[in-house]
Amino acid sequence: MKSALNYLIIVITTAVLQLFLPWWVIIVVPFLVYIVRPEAPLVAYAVSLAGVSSVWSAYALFLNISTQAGMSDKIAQLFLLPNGSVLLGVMTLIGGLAAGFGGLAGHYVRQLFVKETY
Amino acid sequence: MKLLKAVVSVSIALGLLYALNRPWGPVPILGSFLSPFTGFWQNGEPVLSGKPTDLELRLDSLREEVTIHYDDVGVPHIFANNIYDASYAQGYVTAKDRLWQMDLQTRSAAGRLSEVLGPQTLEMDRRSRRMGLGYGAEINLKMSMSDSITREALLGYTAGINNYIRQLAPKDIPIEYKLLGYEPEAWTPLKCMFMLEQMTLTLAGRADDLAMSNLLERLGSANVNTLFPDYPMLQESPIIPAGTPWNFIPVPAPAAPLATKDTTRVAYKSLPLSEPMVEGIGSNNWAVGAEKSATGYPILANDPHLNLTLPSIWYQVQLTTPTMNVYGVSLPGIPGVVIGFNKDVAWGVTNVDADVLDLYEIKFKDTTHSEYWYNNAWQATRKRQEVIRVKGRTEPVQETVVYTHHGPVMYYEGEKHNGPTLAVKWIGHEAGNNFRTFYELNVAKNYDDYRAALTHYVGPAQNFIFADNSKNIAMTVNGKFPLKWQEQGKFLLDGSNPAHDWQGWIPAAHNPHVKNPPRGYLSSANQSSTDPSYPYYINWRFAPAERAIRINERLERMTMANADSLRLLQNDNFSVLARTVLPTLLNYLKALPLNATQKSAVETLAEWNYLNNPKEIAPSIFEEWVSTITPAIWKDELYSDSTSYRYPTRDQTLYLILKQPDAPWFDDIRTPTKETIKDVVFSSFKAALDTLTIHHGPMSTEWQWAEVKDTEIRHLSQAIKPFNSPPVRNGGGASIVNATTKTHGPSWRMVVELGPEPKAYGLYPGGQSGNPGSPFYTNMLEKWEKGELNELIYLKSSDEKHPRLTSTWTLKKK
Repeated sequence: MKSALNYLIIVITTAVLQLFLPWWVIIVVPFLVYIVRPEAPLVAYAVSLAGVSSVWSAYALFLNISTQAGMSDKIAQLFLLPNGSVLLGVMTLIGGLAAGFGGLAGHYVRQLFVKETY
Repeated sequence: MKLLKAVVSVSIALGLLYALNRPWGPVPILGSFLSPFTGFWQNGEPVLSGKPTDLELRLDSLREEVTIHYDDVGVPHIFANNIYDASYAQGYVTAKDRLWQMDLQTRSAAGRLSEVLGPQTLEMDRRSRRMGLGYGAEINLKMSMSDSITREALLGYTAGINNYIRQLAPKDIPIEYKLLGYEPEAWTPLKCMFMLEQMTLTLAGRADDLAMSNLLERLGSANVNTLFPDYPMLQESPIIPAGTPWNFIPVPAPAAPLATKDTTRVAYKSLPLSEPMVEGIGSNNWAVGAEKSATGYPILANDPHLNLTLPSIWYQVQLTTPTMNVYGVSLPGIPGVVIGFNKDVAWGVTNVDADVLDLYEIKFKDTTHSEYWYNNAWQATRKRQEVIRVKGRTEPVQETVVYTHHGPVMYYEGEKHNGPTLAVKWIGHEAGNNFRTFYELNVAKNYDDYRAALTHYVGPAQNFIFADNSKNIAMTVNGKFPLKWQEQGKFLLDGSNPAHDWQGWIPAAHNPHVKNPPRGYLSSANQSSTDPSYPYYINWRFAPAERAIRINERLERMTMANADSLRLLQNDNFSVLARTVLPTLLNYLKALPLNATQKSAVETLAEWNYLNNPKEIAPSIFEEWVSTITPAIWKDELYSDSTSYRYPTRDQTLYLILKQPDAPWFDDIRTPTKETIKDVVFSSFKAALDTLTIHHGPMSTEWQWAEVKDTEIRHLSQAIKPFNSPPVRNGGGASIVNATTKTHGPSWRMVVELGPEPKAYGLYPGGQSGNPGSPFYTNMLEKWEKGELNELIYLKSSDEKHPRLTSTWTLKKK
């Protein structure tokens, strides 16, 4: 239940904040969430990854469909990838991994000050 | 342990943040580039489904309301109440579609590429600075800003671009900025001038004076006079029809000074100063008079040939105010229409190959370059400090450009061109107001307006074709031409001798001109401006005559012409070059022992109808053969790794082949045996077939002309391959009316039927949008490839309903 709520918090907060803040809020938000709302380290990592990946992939998918992959297929070639869909996967993974480490870092920083066991 | 975990995890998170938040070599800032909120995903444009929405924009510094109707190919039709607002809207919509292109082209002229691209463009920037493009832009700006109308246009255009940039969210900036990692900067009227300088550089920014001087040393003046004559020996069809009377009393040209040079000096070991002008930069235009047309009014056509790029070089627009209603193409970065038509007139341009760039040898007193020898005294130079900022370096590069009264010093003795110190005298440094010319053409009502408009024009000189609905057609070889002695500037000039200076100008009224000639049509294709009866010297060489000959042959025969007859002529693939020389070449192969491939190649050529059509194999063989034969004749005498020479013109080479087959030039002086023309013809034939086989395998459909020519329209960056066009498979060639080569070709094709109401057709190989993610990026390409044209929508008023209009933007004062 806590995981689901943390996931939702990350999804909503990163989605809203990215409208006017730089991309790296996807690392900062999970970090702060897991300072305030602790979970086991692996869970923290997984929920952060899932939250940000959901936001990035959903929005990119929407943009990609509405533009018929006009741009993503070209950029994929630039990165030596076969098409825009693969690029979407890679991009989601990169965003998710970065967010995961944000969440994990939040968890361990909290551990410095608060004694908790999972 | 806890601490370690915290430190490690925070380090990884911060490390990722850092790594994804900075560029790595050519890789952009990945975090923001990949994010769907800010990155490339935002640059895709929705494919049109249903009607695009109308927009209402509230904008600063607009004076009155402007209405813009978009049509189904993305052309804006602008309705404004004054020239300022019309230019404002033009700037706004052009920036919307072409912002990065405008930035790159003006940066290139300003020598500011390194600011965003890094050290690899430093040499280019240094050349732009030394060429004095900034100096030229500044003096032209002064002139244009002192004219009330062009001032309004430039200020309005600038305000429009800047208001577009101001409302642009970081996520919406063009993809190229995101890839290269920089941001749009404010526009200025000076940038419009840089755009003009860039055009002048492309069309009139080359000289082979040094190569010609080297040839003089090597061959002697008798040979140079024979091989490099001042008028084509074999064939020509001059722009101003032979026999046209010169209705003026010529002013005397300065007398040619006696040779004062030390004739025993050693030839300069020099690398080529600049890339030679590619055949393919050139253009066609023509007009047929009322008596030849089915409509009873003149019809005009124009297709400027340039390096084909995406985004397209041109941008279509209709501009209207209460005193103006013009449609045509503009250059992104310049207000107004450059080639187009209005209700009463139509005009087009092709390049004049005038010699308006000369190199002067300079002798400095010492290494401070503060004084140079001129008119038997030391004269002071002026110095202009150029600061070139380089991406990735903290300290900018300082370049002091030294100006003599001729112009800036472009090359110093001892630098890698290995030649003398040379200053450049160039038309790009001459103050003028080309904008005034274009404005007056945009509002012209008749022939007199056209003639008056041209008087403001400086350069790059153009053959301005004209037609109006009073049934006039006219051609003016127009620009500011220096008044020269015969061959002045064909060779290096002596910078210390006042007699070598440019001494005044050919009076504008004496520029070659013709109106309503008896033959009923006019044309130009960059060939000789006039026959030798013209009393002034413009240049010793012009583009080869084949395109002009073909155009004039077809126009001569044309009757009851309509727009489609002219469109078909624009797509004419007939090779006058092949007709001229191929039978003779094939004759030399007769009775020679040929292998199977050679025999079949000869058969293919013998059956050929001289059309460079896409599926023909013969043009592939012929074009390769002809481009091999020229160096086969000349390379032994006129090539060296260390000294720049140039080969004689194509006309001269053809003249030798056809008229002087016993000339000594056919012998390869590097071999002990004596070669004849037959040997050269056969060896180049074999070499051509070998080249084709190496690149395309044994003779098969792979040898079809469209495959071999392999036209490709590349993105302006020349580097981002996925933004290039798909392969283009059409016919044509360098000497063909349909002048499509691998990289160059008709960058805009236009046909206008004059009449009570103009009917016009046109398109370019690309689209209105510069955004590779837009459906308007290459939407005209397929039609262009097939040689078709779009009907251009010429609205008479803002209220006019037209089925092809899709949406309306209203710009309102904030």
